[in-house]
Amino acid sequence: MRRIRAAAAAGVSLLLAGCGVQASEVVEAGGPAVVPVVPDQLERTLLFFVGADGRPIPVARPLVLTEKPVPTAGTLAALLGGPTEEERAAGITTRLPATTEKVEVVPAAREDSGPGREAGRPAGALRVTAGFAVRSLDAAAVRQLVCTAAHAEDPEGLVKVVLTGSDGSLPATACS
Amino acid sequence: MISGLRTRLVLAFLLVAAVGCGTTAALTYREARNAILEQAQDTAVSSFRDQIQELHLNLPPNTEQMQGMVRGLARQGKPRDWWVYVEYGSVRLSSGTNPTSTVITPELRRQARGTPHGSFQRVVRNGEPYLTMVMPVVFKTAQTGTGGQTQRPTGLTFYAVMRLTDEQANVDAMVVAARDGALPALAIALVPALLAARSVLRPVRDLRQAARSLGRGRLDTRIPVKGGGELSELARTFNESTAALERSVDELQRAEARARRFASDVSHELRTPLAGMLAVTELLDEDAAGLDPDTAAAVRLISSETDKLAVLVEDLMEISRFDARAAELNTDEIDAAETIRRTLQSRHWTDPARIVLDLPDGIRARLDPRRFDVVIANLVGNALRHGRPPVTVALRTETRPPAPRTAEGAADGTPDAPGGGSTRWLVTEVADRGPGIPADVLPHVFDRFYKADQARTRSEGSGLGLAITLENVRLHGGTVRAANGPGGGAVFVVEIPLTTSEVTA
Amino acid sequence: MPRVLLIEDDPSVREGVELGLRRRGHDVRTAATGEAGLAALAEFRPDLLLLDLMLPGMNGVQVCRRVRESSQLPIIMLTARGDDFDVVIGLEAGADDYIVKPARTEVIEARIRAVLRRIEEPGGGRPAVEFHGELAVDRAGLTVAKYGERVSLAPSELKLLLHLCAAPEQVFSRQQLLEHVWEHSYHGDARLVDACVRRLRNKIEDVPGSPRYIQTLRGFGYRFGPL
Repeated sequence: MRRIRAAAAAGVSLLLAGCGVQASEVVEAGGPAVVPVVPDQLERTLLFFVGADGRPIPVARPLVLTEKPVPTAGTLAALLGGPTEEERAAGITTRLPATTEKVEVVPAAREDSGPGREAGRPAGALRVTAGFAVRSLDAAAVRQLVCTAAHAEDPEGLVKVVLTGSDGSLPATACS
Repeated sequence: MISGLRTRLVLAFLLVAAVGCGTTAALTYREARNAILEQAQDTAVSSFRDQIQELHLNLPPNTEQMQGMVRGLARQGKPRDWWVYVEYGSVRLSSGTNPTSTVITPELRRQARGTPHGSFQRVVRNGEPYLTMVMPVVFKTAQTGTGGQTQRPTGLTFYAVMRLTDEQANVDAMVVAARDGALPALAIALVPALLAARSVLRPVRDLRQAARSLGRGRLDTRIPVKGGGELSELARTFNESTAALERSVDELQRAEARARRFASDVSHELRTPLAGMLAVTELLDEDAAGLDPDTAAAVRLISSETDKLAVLVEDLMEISRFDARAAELNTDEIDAAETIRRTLQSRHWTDPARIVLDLPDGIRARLDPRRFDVVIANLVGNALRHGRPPVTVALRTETRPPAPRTAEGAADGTPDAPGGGSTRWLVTEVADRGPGIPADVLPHVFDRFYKADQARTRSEGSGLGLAITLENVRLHGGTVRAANGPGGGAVFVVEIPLTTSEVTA
Repeated sequence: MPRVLLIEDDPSVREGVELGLRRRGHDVRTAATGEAGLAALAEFRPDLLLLDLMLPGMNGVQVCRRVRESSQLPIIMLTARGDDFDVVIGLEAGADDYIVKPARTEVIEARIRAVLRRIEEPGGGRPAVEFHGELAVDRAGLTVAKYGERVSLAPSELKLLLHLCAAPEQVFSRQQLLEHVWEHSYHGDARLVDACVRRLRNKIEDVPGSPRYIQTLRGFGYRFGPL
């Protein structure tokens, strides 16, 4: 009899188990939403600022038609100029020092044709030389510079960037 | 606890059916519930994503733009209404009144931040199930239509919260359906359960009926043996045992019949020579006087023993007829008191110092006068021989329900009560003032040739008197009991059903 | 002393009964078979026939019927109790009484005397011939006539009729009739009475099925009339 009762209890509990709608874990479901950004790639400059939590927030500023195409150095100068009033209002900040100093950019294309004298420097890296110290910058600030430079140079933003500042160089980095 | 093989079989059957039904229902239910939820979730997440992908974004979007998006998305809720929330930098907006949701869990927020994937989570708040979704928004860095693959987060994250009430209702309906389906299924399962129990129990029932029939004396009872298995094995054993029992009972009955026939044959064969001898005993008695004393004594001995032998043979014949069920009842309607008086008179038992009578007149009974005479004569003769006078002979009628009575030393006949309800009985009591009957003798007083005193080789009677009395009373459908009276002395009570009404002559 | 013819196949019974009766002064003739007995009947002219029922060849009942065809000779059957069926057949065949074997000679003689005893004559003042309906009963001549025609009755039948019609409309129980007509004990065999009544009715009643003279009172007995 005890066995029968146990079996009956098991049956009932099986029946009742997971009745109704239960809470669940977080479940991944497909990719993110991919959204077209206006203005289009050819008519904007893409600057990477950061949010309050340090995550990168890209900003697409329309190009003034006469300036087209904007050199990478110009784009970096806009980045160093910091977010606009409107952008700040949305909680967008920058981790970079405010400066008006010119940033020197040696495009990777030129490096391709030149002699590779220095060992350990990867071929095809974009070299950016700034007047401020770069080694003391935090990761978010470095990412701002790298991503903005990479996207200014290449629509896909896949090119590696070597940052050099007043205190030396950082290893070649890609925007990720 | 649960008695009865049938009950247990049916319960076991139902239990199996219930477990089967229940398991199937539970598994089906789980699958169906998951399917319902997955359908709802997938629809919701993909339509959320599709709707977001319809948007065009400025970076940074301004607050009005975001508010417009949120409202627009909230209107297009699919499969049903949802609340939409957006987070961008420090901006928090929603389609509802609160800018942030209380339902969305920190885990979901972390997930949205960590990976560029849409995610969802079911949350139950206050007993109500919700589907919460998160959809990070990315954009392609390359010009639209160039096939560029690089996607960068826009920093914009949409959330949606949707009630799962309908799904809950559907799932609940399924539970109800499962229950409503399972209960009738169990009820229907009762039918095959009973049928199965019946077929399983049929051999058991057959066995029980056979055993009962055997108990009633039908020794030729057999059970049909079907197929193999334990029950047919049992049936076979039963049949074999019954056959053996029948054989030995047959053997016993044949032996008893042989013995009875032998007794009957012997007494028959003795009768003819006795008839000759008895006819000449008077001659011997009369002439004995003229013989020399020794011869005379021998002659008288032969004469008197011939008389006794004749009585013994006659009693044996009578018993044999009872045994052969050849005894006939020749009834006549007579006055009971008169019949008893005549019995006593014809045997000269009329001395009031020895015989006290209590015989009310007017009791008419349908009796065999000769057999009733034998009954009374045997009982009174027995009382006079073994008890002490005065011997009381009392007659009365009693009315009582037809319940068979059993008492110490009772020899029951087969009182087939005529008519239903209560029966009137003719009760005749013969009591003496002797020492009574010893307790160890009491059960045997009606036995044939029973000798209360083993040392006494021969009683005055044939030794069959009380046995014949018992048979005669039985033949009348009555009973005779022997007991000891409250004041000492043996009491014999004869009870015969009265088949005629009392008539005052 | 009466002349008795004994038909009995068993020599010891035959001899014993013959010895006993002869000793008591009866004139006894014996026969071992029914055929021999019937042959001796005409020559010996007995007053009474003692007839064993179980005989080789022609049995007692057949002998009884044969005797009754031509004579109202008193017949007493010798039977063993238990041959109940034979007793009834024998009584129907016309026997007047029966004796159960084994029996003492005094018992046999008492029965013989009883059967042969004439019914007591009623007191003076009664006519010799009584008329009851169509029956004429002559108590002195011991004859009965119906419609003027003589009815031959066996001794037991005649005695029963005389006893009953001596007290018309009086009820006699079977036990009383057994005692008075047959001189049996009170507890004797009532079938004697019943068989005799049946035989008597067959002889004197117009419709034996609904008797006029010998009427039955269920539960009590028989009575003569009322006519």
